Amino acid sequence: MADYKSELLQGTLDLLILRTLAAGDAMHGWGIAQRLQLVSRDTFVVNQGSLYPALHRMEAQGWIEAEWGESENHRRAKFYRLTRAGRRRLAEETAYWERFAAAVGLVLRET
Amino acid sequence: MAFLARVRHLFRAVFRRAELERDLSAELQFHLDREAAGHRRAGLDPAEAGAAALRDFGGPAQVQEACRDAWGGRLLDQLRQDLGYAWRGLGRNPGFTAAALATLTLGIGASTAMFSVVNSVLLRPLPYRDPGRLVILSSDLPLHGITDSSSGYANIDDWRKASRTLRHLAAFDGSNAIVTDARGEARNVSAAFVSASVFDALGVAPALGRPFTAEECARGEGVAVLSDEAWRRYFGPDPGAIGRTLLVAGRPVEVIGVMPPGFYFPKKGVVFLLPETLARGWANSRLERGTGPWRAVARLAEGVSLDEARTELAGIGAVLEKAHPAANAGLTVRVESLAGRVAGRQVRLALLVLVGAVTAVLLIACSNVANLLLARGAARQREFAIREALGAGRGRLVRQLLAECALLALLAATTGAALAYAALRALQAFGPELGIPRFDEIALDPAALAFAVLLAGFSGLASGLLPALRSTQRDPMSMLRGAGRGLSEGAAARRGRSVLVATQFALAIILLIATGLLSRSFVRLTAVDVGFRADQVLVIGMRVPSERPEEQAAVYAARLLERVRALPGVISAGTSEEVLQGEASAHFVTVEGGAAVDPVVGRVAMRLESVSPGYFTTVGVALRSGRFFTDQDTAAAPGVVLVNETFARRFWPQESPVGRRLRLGEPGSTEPWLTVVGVVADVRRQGPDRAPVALAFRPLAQHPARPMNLVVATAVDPAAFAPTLRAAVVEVDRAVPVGNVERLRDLLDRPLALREFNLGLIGAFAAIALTLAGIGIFGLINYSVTRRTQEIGIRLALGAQPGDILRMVLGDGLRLALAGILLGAAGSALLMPVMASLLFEVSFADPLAFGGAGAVLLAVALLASYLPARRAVTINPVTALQTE
Repeated sequence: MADYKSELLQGTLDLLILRTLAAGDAMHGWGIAQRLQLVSRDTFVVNQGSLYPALHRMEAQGWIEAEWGESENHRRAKFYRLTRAGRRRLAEETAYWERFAAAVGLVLRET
Repeated sequence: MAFLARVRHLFRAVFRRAELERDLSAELQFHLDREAAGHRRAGLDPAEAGAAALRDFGGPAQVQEACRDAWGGRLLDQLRQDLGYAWRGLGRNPGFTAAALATLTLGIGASTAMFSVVNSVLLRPLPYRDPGRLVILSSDLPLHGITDSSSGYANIDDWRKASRTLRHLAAFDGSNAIVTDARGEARNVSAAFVSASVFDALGVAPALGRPFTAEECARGEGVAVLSDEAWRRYFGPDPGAIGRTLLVAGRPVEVIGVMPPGFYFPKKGVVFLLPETLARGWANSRLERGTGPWRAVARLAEGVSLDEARTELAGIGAVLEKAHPAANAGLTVRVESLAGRVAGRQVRLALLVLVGAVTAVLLIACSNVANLLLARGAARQREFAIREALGAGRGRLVRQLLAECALLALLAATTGAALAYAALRALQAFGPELGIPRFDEIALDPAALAFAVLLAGFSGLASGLLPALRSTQRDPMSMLRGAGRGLSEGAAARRGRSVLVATQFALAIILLIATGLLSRSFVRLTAVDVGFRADQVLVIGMRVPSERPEEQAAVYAARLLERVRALPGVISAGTSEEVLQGEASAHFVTVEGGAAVDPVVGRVAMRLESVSPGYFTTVGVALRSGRFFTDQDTAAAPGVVLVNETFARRFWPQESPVGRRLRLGEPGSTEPWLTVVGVVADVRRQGPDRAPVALAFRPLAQHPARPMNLVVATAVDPAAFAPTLRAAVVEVDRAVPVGNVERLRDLLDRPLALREFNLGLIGAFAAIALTLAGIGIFGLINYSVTRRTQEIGIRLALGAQPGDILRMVLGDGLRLALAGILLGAAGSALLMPVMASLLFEVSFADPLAFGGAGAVLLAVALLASYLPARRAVTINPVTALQTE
C-alpha cells in the first residue's frame, strides 16, 4: 500500500499534456514525456507508450495541432502545439479537476 | 474551428492513411532513438539501451494500434477489409454467387420497375403549383343514376360567386377546335375553353408571353395560350410566335402566350387554351344549368380542407336546386381532389395489387437467398470456428457475413436497375391504351435508382442477418472437436430453413390465386358478346366545321357515304355521332299514352345518337324487331326513332315498342312526336364489364349533328385498306378535319388493356415466385439428402426398401409445401376481397382459383422433391458408409 507511484487517474493524462503545452512552445512527444516525468517528481508513472495515443486523440479532437520540424539534435520530429480549442479545454478540465479535488478533500476531512 | 480541424483530420484518416502511417512510425522511432540515446549516455551499451527504451515504451505495435484507433475512420477501414474479403469469398463460390445474384436481381428489378410506375402515376406531383390543393367540381344526379357529369355554365358561375372556401374557380370545357395553319391545312386539335382565372388556379404562368385577362375573356377576344407541344408543332420553337395569328374554328386568333414545357391542362399534347367566351354556342351555353359541357377547377382557400369545401358546395348546390327546380332537380355538387381524379380508384387499386405482388416476389427472393446463405453458412462452420478460436470476435464475423450480403445486394442493385430499365421499356410498348394516367412519364429516374439501392440494403440485411447470426452462433471448441463428423447442421438451423421454404410457398400461392382470379375474370370478359361484329370494321372520326349550318352535316354525310361505298373492297358503310362513347346524360322522354313526366325529377339517363342508314348493318348490331333507318327517312319524312333493348325495357316493359310514339324534350314541349320503327340489340359500348345504357337513335337526315364517325366494313385486309380509305375521305371535303383510321376491334379491346396488363404482370410475378419457391424447396431437400447420405445408407443396409426412402424424402418436401400452401390460402382468403372490384363475374373466393393454385404448387413441390428423392434411392449403402 506504500507504493504511491500509481497509475494515472482516467483522463488526467490529457490534462497534464494540455498543461505542459500551455507554456507556449511547441514540443515533440519525447519532450513532453521528459517534462511530465520531471514535474511529477516520480509521484506517478506515465507509461511513455500511452502518451502517443493520447496525443493523436487530442489532435483528432482539434485541441492540439502538429507540425513536423527540426529537433534540438537536428532530426525531423513532430511538434505539438495547443490550439484555441485546446486552451478552452484546458480551462474546463482545470476547473473540473479543482472542483473534484476540493470535493474529495472535503469528504476526507469530514470522515 | 475545432470542428473543421476534426473533419480535416478524419478526412486524412480515411483517404491519406499511408501518409499517417509513415508519420506515426517516424514519430515513434524518433522517441525510441532519443530514449535509447539517453540510456547510452547513462552507460548502457547500444543493444541494451535500445531494449531499455522499448521496455519503457511498452510494445510499439500496441501503441501504433491504439493511435490508429484514435484517428477515427477505423470502421471504414475495417469495412474496406470486409468488402475485399467478401469479394474474394463470392469469387471462390461462383455457383452460389450466380444463384443469389440472379434471385436478388429478379426481386430488386421487379420492385424497382413497379416503384417507377407507382411513383410516376401516383406519387410524383402534377405540374401545377401546390397541386394537392386543387379540386375539380362536377355534377352528380343520383336520381337519374348519373355521377360525375360535367355541368351547366350558369351553375358553375353561381358556385364561383357563392363559394368562400374555393379560390380562383375557373370553368373549363376540354373539347376540340379545328385549327387551320398558315398553309391552309385544317386539323382537329384539343382546345380547352377556360375562364381567365385558370392560370391563377393552377398557379402556372406562360413561359412565353402572357395569360389572357378576365377583361379579354369577357369581351370574347380572339386570343390563345398554347401548350408547349402546340407551340412546337405550329411555330417550331420560335419565340416570335407571340403576336402571330392562326385560324381557330374559322376565326382569327392571336397567340399571346406559351405554357412551360411539362405543363398540361386539361390533357397532354397539343392543346389550345382559349377564352371560355369562344366556346361553341356560348350565348346559350352560358345560361345552361343542370348538366352541360363544363367542369370547374379551383384551389382550396388557405386553411380550408376538402371536406369543408364539400360541405359548403353541398349547401350552395341545395340553394341552387331550390332556385332552379326544373334544371337542377336532384343535382348535387361533386368536389374531388384533382390528384385523386387523375389516378382513379381502379388504377390505384390495380397498382396497389401489383405492389403487393412485387413485394411478395421480393420477400421470396430474399428468403431464397437467406436459404442459400444458411446452407453455405452450415458448410463454413469449421472455418468460422477456427477464425473464432484465433480471436475474431463474433461481431466481426457477423459483420463480415453481412458485408458479403451487402456486396451481393449492391451488385444486385446494379443488375436489378438494368432489369427494371428493360422492363419499363417493355411496359412502354403497351402504350396509352392502358388508360393509366401519366403513363408516358414513367421512367427510371434518380428516385427509382435510390429506391433500388434502398431495396438492396433491405434485401441484403433481410437475407443476411439471420444466416449470419445462425452460422456464427457456435461454441468453437465443440465445433472443432466434432470436426470430421461430416457437415452437420443444427436442428435450429434446419428448422429456420424449413420455415423459410414454407413461407415462400405461402407467398407464392397468394400470387397464384390472384393470377387465377384475374385470368378467370379475363376469360369471362373476353367471352362477353359486346354486340358488335367488329373484326373487319374501320372507324374514322370527323367533324363538320361550326361555321356551316348544322343541316350541312347530313349533306356532307351523304356525299361521304356515296364516295366510300364506291371504293372497291367496301361491303357497307354508315355514320354515327359516336360509336363507343357511352356516357349517359339526363333527358326528358315522354311516351305517348304514358304517365305524365314530372318536370322536376322526370329525366332519365340515356344517350341520343344521330346515325345514317347502313350504320347498324356495318357494325353488326342486330335488329330485334321492326326495321332499320332507310334513305326514305329524310328530313321531310315523318319523324322516326330507333331504340335499344335497354331503352325499350325501360319504357315498354310489357309490349313491343314498334309503332309507339315518343317525344324528346321538356314535358309539354312542342317537339314533334317520333314513331319507334324498330328495336336494336344492346351493345356494351364502354367495355364488356359495363352495363349497356339506354340508347335512342335518330336518322342523321332528321337530326343532324356535326361530329360523326364513319364506320366501314371491308372485304379486304383492314390494315392495308386504311390509307386508301383515309385518302378518299379527305378528298370528299378538305375543310372537314379527319381523324386517324382505327380498327373497331382495337377500340373495343382498349377497355380490357388495363386488365390484360394487370394479369400479365401478376402472372409474371407469380411465375417468378413459383420458380423461386421450387428452387427453394429443391435446394432444401437436396441438401438434406446429401447431409443424410450415411443415415439413408444405414436404413438401406438394415433392409429399408427404396419405396420407403422415396416416401420419406417426398414426404419431407410435401409436408413443408402443404404447410405453406395452407397458410397462404388462409392469407388469401383474407386478402382477396381487396381485389373484388378488379374481378368480373368471379368471386374472390373462387374455388377453382384456390384449388388450381394449390394443385400447381403441390405439383411443383412434388417435382422439386422427386429429383433429390431419386438420388436418395440410388445411394449405395456400402459406399455411403465407407465415405467419411
